[in-house]
Amino acid sequence: MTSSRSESKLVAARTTSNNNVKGLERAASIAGGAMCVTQGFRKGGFVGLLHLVVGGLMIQRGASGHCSAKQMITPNPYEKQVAREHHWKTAKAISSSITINKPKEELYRFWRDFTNLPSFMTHIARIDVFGDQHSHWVATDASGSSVEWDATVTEERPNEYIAWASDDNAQIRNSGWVSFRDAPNGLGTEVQTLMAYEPPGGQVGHVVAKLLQKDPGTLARNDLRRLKQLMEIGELTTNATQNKPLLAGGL
Amino acid sequence: MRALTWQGANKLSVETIPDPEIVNPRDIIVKVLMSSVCGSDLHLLDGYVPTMHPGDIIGHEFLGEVVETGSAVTGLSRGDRVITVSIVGCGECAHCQREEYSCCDNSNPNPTATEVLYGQPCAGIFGYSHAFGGYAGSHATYVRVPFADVNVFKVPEGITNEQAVFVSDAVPTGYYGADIAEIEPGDTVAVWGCGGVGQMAIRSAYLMGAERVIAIDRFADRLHLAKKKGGAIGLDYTQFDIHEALLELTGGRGPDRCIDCVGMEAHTDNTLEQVYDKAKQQLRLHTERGAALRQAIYSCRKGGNVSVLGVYAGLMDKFPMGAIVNKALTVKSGQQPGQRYVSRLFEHILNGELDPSYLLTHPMSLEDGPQGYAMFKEKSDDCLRAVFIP
Repeated sequence: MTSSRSESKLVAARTTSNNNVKGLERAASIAGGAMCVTQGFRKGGFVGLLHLVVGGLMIQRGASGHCSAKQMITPNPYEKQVAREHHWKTAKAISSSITINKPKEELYRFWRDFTNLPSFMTHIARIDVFGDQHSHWVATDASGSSVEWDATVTEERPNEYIAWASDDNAQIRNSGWVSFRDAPNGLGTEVQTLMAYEPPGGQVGHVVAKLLQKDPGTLARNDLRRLKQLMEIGELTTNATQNKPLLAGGL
Repeated sequence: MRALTWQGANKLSVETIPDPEIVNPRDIIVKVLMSSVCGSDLHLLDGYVPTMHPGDIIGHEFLGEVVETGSAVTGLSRGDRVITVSIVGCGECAHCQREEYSCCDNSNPNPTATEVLYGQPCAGIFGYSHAFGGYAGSHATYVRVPFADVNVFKVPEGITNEQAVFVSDAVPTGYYGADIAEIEPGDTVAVWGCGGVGQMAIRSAYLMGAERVIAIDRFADRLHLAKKKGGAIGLDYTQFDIHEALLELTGGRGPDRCIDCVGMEAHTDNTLEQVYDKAKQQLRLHTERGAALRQAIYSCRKGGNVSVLGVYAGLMDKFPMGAIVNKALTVKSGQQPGQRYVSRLFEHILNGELDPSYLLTHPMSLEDGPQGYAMFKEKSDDCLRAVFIP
């Protein structure tokens, strides 16, 4: 992992390439859509209606030259780079950024002790730390099934940057980094994170996962919000009125 | 405990539910002595604010007595008579530390809805939909208050419950509106809407040096109070062409500062505008009926300020951007950061310069909550504010 990456503020932000359906595919989309609509009118009833809807979407896709489903499964340049570096088939990267009203030294110290990460990362149930560089991560998904892997710190600069990656035998190969920069005007510290992984079923698997659970971008942002709450106010914000486990009413 | 709950558009009921408990170290539990209705609740009732769930307790403007304090709470103890600012601040984020409490980063436990709607997550508000945090409201026997050291204020001796309860929301909202209007001595200030917030904006404008305040409404009782208690000139918009009247009263210049205390369910005498806005609102094509704000922008003098206190939730059509640009207007807005003002407001009350108690026209039992809201909504029996006493 090269250190230059953390210097750039824009890494894995979604690209909005508006025209991702081109040439023959675009023409085929319009033609196929038109056929589908014609069939829909002929068949009538519910099946006919379905044809109309699908046909309409295909025509729209062809006419506008944009397909959001295709955009979702197409890796952005950064994801391609991560996949190349790690020798993964493909990569999914999620970046997120937040400003925390605390000095970067304090935030770095908290993060560098990986046993603290589960206190704000929704899907990380436990991290055991071995020595200075090695750790064992246990993640659980929404259904409660868990995945485990070993990870190693691959690069660090005190108070500024920590990068880690899963070891080769990991069930889901992944890597991540966090950077800490002074925010302007005494606003504290800008914390930026990136989590990348090799989607188990390729990019399509990622889309399925996205449909089944919360949007990972939102999850990552809310993880950072919980970190901000812990560091700034020392508690997790909740609207709960009964003394149940804290996360119940929170993010 | 008993609580007034939202059950659906224009459906309220009083239910028995479990008492709240201390959850976080900076929490307190307040036994509610008085809890006021607020015009902003009407938008929840009418179903214009999404993310309300059946069973949600509404109410955000209240006075009570501390009955329990969390382990990290200092400076407050059992038996203290307190008010709580309606918009929740955490006290520690950069916004709170700059006294921009209503921009708090941490107080909304459900940040995603407002983040999607507005681009950034907004602060939590008591009893004001899940998008604004899903906090249980104050029309109840008890309420849990988070970050009590920041949001809760002891009421000084010499201030009555009837005066203090409105320092939760109506008074600081009106005061904030006058503050951001940047009133200068000699200014003429026009206030649209003479409900509780409008009444307080009128009084606050005078406290900040306005020479004249012109109050605009259509209800005789509210205009009467604006004149008698607020010292304003009253204009009934069903009787006068407001723009012409404002020009006539200001030597043709228009008011220097305009304050909108109406919001997204504005009524107008212009039938076409009313029908257009209401039809689009009901089709969910836009959410705001913005007649009052449009008029404020239209009438404001060149280089003047428009301060927007009315509740707006989403998108407005026919927003007069041309008037803003070509008349060099400044438009400011926001939920009130009351924490910034409470001690100053208590001082004004103690000095006899401000007395919000006249807003309370209808004290009622909490059990009569649904009737109280019906009365408030219809503005029947000259109801300015119904206040529930659990």
